[in-house]
Amino acid sequence: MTSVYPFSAIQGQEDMKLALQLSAIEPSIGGVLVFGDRGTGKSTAIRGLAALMPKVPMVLGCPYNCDPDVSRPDPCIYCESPDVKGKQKVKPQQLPVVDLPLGATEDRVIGALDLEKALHQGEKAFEPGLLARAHRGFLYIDEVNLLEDHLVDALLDVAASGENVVEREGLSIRHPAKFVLVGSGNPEEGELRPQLLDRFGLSVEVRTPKDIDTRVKIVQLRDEFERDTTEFVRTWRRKDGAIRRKIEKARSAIDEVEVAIQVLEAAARLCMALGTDGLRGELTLVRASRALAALAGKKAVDTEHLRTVAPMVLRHRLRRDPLDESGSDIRVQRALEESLD
Amino acid sequence: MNEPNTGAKNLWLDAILAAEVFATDPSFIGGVRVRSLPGPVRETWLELVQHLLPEDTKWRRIPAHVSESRLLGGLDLAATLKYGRPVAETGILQECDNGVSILAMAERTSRAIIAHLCSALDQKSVTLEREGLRGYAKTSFGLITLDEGLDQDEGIAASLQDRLAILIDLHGVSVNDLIESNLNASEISEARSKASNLTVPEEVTRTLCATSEALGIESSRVMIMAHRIVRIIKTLLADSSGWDNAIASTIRLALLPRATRLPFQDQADDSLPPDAEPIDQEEQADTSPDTSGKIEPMQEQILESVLANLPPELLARLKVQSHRASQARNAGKMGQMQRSFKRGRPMGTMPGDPRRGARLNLLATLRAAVPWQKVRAEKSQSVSKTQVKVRVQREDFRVVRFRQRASTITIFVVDASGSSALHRLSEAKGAVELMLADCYVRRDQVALIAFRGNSAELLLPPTRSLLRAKRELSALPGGGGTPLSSALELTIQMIERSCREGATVGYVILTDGRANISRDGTQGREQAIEEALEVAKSVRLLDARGLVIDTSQRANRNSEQLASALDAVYLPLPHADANSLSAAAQANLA
Repeated sequence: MTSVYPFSAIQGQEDMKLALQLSAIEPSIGGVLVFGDRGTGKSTAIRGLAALMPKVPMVLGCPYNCDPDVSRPDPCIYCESPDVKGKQKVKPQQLPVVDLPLGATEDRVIGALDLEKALHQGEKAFEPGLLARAHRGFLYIDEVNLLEDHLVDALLDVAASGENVVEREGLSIRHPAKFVLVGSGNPEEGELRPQLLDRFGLSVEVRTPKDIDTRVKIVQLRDEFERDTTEFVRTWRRKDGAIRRKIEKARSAIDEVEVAIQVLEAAARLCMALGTDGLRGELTLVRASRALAALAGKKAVDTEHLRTVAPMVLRHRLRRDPLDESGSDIRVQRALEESLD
Repeated sequence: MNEPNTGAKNLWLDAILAAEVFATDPSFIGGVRVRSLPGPVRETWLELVQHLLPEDTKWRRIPAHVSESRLLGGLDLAATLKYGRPVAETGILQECDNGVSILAMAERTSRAIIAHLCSALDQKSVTLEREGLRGYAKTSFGLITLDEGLDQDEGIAASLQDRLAILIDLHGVSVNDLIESNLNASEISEARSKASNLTVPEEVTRTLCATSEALGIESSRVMIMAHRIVRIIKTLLADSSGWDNAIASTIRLALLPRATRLPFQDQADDSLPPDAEPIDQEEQADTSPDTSGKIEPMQEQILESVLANLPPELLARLKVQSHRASQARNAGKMGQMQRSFKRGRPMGTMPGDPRRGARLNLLATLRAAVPWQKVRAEKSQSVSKTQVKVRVQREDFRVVRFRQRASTITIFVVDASGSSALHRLSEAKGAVELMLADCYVRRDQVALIAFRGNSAELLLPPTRSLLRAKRELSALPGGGGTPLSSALELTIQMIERSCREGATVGYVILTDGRANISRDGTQGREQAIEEALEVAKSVRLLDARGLVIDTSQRANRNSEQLASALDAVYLPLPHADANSLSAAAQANLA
C-alpha cells in the first residue's frame, strides 16, 4: 500500500476528527457524513482513520470478521464449515476501514457467485463482497452523492438491517454486515437523497482553514510527508497510537457512563424545539454525548457534552425548506440557547 | 497591435515553463491542463513535453470514449475462457505507470472516468472491484488533459482540475510566437534531483498561501501543489537572486487561473458584467468576512506585478472566470442518463458483449452454454487436450439489461430586461422559486437562462443543486433590452443538448414578450418580435414541452403569440398567484 497521511497530522478540522472518533467509539451512532469543498482533507482524514481503529478479538481468516464472543442466531458460513469449526483462531485485530471505490459493481459490493470456482470446478460458491469485509468496521464512500442509485438502495437496506441478504445468481445467502457508513462529498456536485441523509448519525461540514498560519502549516507538513514519508509516518505514529488507545479506553468505558434524566430531558427539548422527525435525533444525541463523555474520561454526561455534539447530530435532520439556505447551524444554536440555558 | 502580441509571447513562455516543470517530475506535479483547440500550437507543446522527458517515458493517450474496464482493467474474456479461471487484463492507468497519460477532449469525459482518474492521482494506485475481480495496483503518472472547451461553460470537471497543478491556456498563441525551450531532457532530470534537495523558506510558503487566500482559492490541495512547483521553478530558473521570480511564475501557472476573485478589483473592473458582483460579494460574505484586506505588502507587490504582466485579454477572460468559478462545472455533461446496460433495475437478460460496459449474467450465460456442451466437447477434443469443465463461447454471453427512468431537465428562461424588471421581475422570481421547489421534490435537474441587454446567458447549466439555482436567480439584476430571439436560440441549444443525453426536457419562459433586440444586436421592436416568432417555430419542432408565463402588467398579445408559435401553454401572471402557477407548470411539464 502507498503510505497514508497520518490522521493526527491533519491540521484543524476538529469537528470532522471528533465525529470520526465518536463513531469509532460508539458504532450505533450510525455513521458520519462529511460534506465540504474540494481539497479540504476529507478523504485524507478518513483514510488516516484506519490507523486509529481499535483492536478487537476477531476470528482469523473469517471473511465476515466474526466476533467469537457473540453467538449469532444465524451461524457464520465460514466458522461453521466442517474444516474450520472448533479450530478457529482468535486474535485481536484492528477493525477494518473498507473503501468503496467508485465504479464498484454491485456483485463486488454485496457479494456474488465465485466466478473462479464456478468456471473451474463448476461449483456454486459464494464470494463475499465489500459489505462482508466491512462488518464491524467502517465502510467509506468517497463522493457519496455520485454513487449510483441501485448501489445506494442496496447499501441502505443493509445498513438498516445489519444483515446482507444475497438473492442472486441462484445463491441464497445471508450474513451479518453491521458497519458504520462514512461518506464524503461536495454538495455542489449534487445533493444527497433524503433517505440516505437520514441514515447518517452525524454530519459535519468542512472548510479550508481561513488563517494563513494554519494554511502554511498544512503545506509544510504535507511537504515533510512527501520528502520523507517513512520518517514522517514514524513520527506521527505515536500520536495516532495515543488516539487509538484513547478510543479503545472509551469503548470499554462507555457502558459505565451514566446519562442523567436532566440530560435526556434537555435532549428531548432540543429535538422538539427543532421539530426533527422521529426519535432518531434524540437517540443519536444521547449516544453521541455518551461517547464524548467516555472519550473525555467522564463518568456521566453533562449538558456541555450535549452542546458539543448537538450541531453535528441535528444539522442534517432539520426539516428543511429546500429553498432556505440560511444555515441550519444557526437554527441549532438558537434552539440550544433556548432549551439549555 | 503590439500589445496582444507580446501577450501571446508571454503566454507561450509560460507554456514552455509549464512543460519544463511538468517534465521535471510528472507524477509529483499531478498534471497540466492545456486549454486550447487542437492545432499546431498544441501539438508543438506536446512535442516539447515529450522532448523534455527522458526518452523511454511511457506516453499513453486516453480517448474520450474510454470504457471503465479499459481504464481500470477488468475481466479478460478471451483468456478467462481459455484458462477456465478469471484472468484480469491490465487497464490503461496501470500501463502508464511512471509515464504520462494524455486525456483527450477532457471537457467531454464522463463523470465516472473523471472520478477514477481523480482517485488514481490521489492514491497513486488503482483499486479494482468489478466483475468478480479484486485487484490493487500501484501506478503513478502525470496527466495532461487537453481541454477544448470554447467558452466558460465548457471545461474539465472541477474535481479533476483541482488535482492538476498547472493550468495553461494556449488560446491566442499563434504559430509565429513559438520558440524553443532552451533546456533539454538531461538538464531537466538534473533539475529534478536538485529540486528535491531544495528547501522552501517559510516566507515563500506564506506568500503562496496568502496569495491563494487573496485570490479566493479554497482548496488546500492547490496550495500544496503550488508549494511543489515553486521549488521546481526556482531550480529551473537558476537565478541566485531570490524567490520572487519563482513565486511570480508559480502564481501565474498554478494560482491565478483558479482565482475566484481578484484582489484589485477596482483597477481591473470595467468590463465585468454587473451581475457578477453580487454573487461574488455574497460568496465572500458567506465564507470570509474580512480576508481581502489582509494581504501583506510583499505579497501585494508580487501579485500586482504578476497581474501587470498579464496580457489584457487574459485578464478579461480571468474576470469572466472569476465570476463563473463559484459554480462547480460538471464536465462533459455525462452521457450517463439512459445507459440501460449499466444501472437501474434489472429487467432480464439478452445476448451481448459484456466488455461494452454491460454486466455479464453468469448463470444465464452458463445456461445458454449447456445444450452445446456435448457438441463442443467432441469438436474441441481433436484440437486440444486441455481439461475444461464448461465450454463457453462468445455467443453464449448473456448480459443484464436495466431499466432506468430518464432524468428530467427543466429549463427556466427568465426575462430580466428593463420592461420586465420594472413591473414584475421579483414576482417572476418568486414563481420560479416555487417551481424550483417542485423540481427539487421530483429530483429534476434545472437549468437557468437569463436574457437582458444584448444577449442571453446560460446562468446555470443543468444541475440538481437547488441552492445554486436559487442563488443565481436572486442575484439576477434587471434592466436593458429584450433579446428574446437570442434567448430562444440558447434555449434550443440547451434542449438539443439535453435530449442528446437522453433526458426529458421541459422549458418555462417568463417574459412580457416585448422583444426589441434582434439577434444581430440591432434595436427595433417589430423586427425583433418577428424574428423571435420565427425562432419560436423551430423550438416547436423539438421534443420539449413548454410553458410561457406572461409577466406583463396587462395581458398583451405578444407573449400569447409567442406561446402559440412555440406551441406552448400560455399563462398570464396577472391572473395567477405563485401557487397556481406552479400547479400549472407541474400539470404541463411533468
